[in-house]
Amino acid sequence: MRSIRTRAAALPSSPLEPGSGPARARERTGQGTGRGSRSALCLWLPTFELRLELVRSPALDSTSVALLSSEGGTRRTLWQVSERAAEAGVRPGQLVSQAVSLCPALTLLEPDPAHYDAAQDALLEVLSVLTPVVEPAGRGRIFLGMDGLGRLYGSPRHQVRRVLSALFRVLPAPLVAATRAGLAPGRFAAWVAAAGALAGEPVIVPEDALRPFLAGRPVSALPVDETVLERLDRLGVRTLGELLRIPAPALVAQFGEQGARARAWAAGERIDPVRPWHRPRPVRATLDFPVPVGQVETLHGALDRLLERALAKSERRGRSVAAARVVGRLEGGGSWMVEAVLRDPSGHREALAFVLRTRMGLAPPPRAVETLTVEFYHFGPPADQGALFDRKDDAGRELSEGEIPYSLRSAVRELKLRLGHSPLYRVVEVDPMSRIPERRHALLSFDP
Amino acid sequence: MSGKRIRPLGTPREVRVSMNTEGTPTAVVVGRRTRRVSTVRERWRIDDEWWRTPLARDYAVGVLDDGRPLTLYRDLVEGGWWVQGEEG
Repeated sequence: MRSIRTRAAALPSSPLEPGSGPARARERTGQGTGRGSRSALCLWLPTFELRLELVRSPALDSTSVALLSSEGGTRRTLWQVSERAAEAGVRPGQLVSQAVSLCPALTLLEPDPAHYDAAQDALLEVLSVLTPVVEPAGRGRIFLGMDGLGRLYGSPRHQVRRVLSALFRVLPAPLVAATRAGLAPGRFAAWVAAAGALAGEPVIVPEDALRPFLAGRPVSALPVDETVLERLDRLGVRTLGELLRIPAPALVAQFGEQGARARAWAAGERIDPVRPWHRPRPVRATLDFPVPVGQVETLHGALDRLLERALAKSERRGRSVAAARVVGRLEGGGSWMVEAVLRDPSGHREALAFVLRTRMGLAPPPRAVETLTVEFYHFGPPADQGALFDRKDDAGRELSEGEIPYSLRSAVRELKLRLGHSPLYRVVEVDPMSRIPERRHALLSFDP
Repeated sequence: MSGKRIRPLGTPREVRVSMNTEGTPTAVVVGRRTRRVSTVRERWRIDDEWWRTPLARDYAVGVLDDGRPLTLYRDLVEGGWWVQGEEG
């Protein structure tokens, strides 16, 4: 396989940033805490998604190929480009029109997120057999906790070799060969090692060599704001070693808390352990359309139905939903996906539908959808059921006496479908003035 | 009202109760646990329906050692202690 250019000029964004949706959701829900593993192995397969596409269509390997970004609209941009396309001046982030004028033979591919996620899941599955501490940091980038594995797999070099050989079970040989690996104390150093490693040549950094190793690495590896990196560049600070020559008070005065953290990383004083990734079993609901659907209104209707079904599933166990995705299988192959991480986890259909519809509006499916799936993949604390008794309709109108809220009516319908009868009861007065308590009220079955 | 089902609410259930010499509950078996009755807040008695099946109950609202209130009564006709709802 030909080598492929990465999207960013120097190093891609650091996996230590709380950038990815699941990571943010995990932080909010308090999952994934604990001591973690100090010894970290970072596996990184640059342009993971484009490589998977080229594996699927080997004929494209010798052509100029670019993967489109998933953001829709009329001004679509490129996400990842092959080396041949890069030689013609095509760059990630470029508009499609610009790219095609530079390289008329450019083959444009729609992203297939479901395919990429399946490959990532397969990787995680295989790696979790080797170590219980596995932490993904976006597609194609995974941290493994290696503490205590020496007695199982031998020296650090043998440990890395063992992990890489396990990848053959789920990835074709060219992709395994292209995987970069870095073993070092803490995630930051492991990531820096992997980013600087050559394919097939893992970089192993022992504890006592950490500081000199980091000193020669570019500051762009630091997980700090882009503005901090720009200012460091303007100050002529190129490497982490040069950063350490700036006195600590001056760094803090210039960059505040970020300056202090950057210094701690650069000096090898801050070691972020790999935390075991907790992945709750997702809750899914799927709808197959009899004919492919391209109309937004129909998709929104289907989304509502699927949300209702997914929320009603017993495996949700009353938990609120912190992150959800909508995946569509497209007519003619490929997939489309939008994800949403909720600021406030919710168990209400309307709240989830609003967020997902907004995402669908920003990135609509590029072609008609054959199958639509709603998946809840991160959960928050148990959801309250206050909306069941909300006395307002969808438009915010106050319900009159005797009117049953829609949410309560649909909950009863769902329960009847499952149980054959409504298990809900209404408290009614029988003899409220009776001296005998059990005769004052009774329960009357509620079936609107 | 076809298809509607009606169920009783607040049906008493029999419990085992320990009491002192004055007949005041001192402990009650709730589930599998024995709970001490810290204090008895209120007591009253009802005698009713003497014209058909006579009903006589000696009620007590006690507070359990975990702070929960419990309404108990002693059936003066059939015997035995009963708990009626778990709120006061």
